[in-house]
Amino acid sequence: MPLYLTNSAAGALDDEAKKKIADDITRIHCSITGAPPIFVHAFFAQGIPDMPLGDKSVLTFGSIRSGRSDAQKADITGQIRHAVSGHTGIPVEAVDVKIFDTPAHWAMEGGEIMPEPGEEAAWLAAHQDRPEAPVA
Amino acid sequence: MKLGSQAEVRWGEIARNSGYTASKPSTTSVVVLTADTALDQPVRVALLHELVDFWTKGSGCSVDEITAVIGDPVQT
Repeated sequence: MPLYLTNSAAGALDDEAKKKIADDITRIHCSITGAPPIFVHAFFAQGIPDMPLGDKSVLTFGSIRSGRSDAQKADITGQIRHAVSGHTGIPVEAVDVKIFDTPAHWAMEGGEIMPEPGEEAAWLAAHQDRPEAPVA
Repeated sequence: MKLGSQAEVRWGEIARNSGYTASKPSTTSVVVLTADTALDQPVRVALLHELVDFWTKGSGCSVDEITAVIGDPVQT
């Protein structure tokens, strides 16, 4: 966690765009929150029943650990909308991003409860052998 | 402790080249469960461990390839 799940209209996102958007989501989330990249999941699908597109072409739900400020969440939302638009040519007005808070203690990764924001050091130290773990 | 009713299960499959963790192709499964009652944290942790054990044994994935969430009921 965070998990950024993106629903899109058919043909809106090709594989190249998904990779670039995933890179940007990871960069944006980490730069704004200070979270380590190892925590960031960016998944893409079409026709997700619980994520109706309405009049949008792309809709991203970000489930992030509780504790981020409203300003941080607005910054994440704005930057991701523009990243998606920039990589696809879809007007930014047709891209929506919604952020949802999830208490860290509700989630488990690597077999352990997720740390609260800013308290990642112990968790990371215990998971240094993960393939995507950051180099110390 | 078990929850009070049969679980409703919904699957979502992520296609190849459509999932990334730390900007790398992801093999992570995300399993999200909403409980039917607010849980004390020790109960939640025990259920999360049970869920992760079940998932890793059933799928063959490692414990590092599962993100599990057990949330309290959504207040509307």
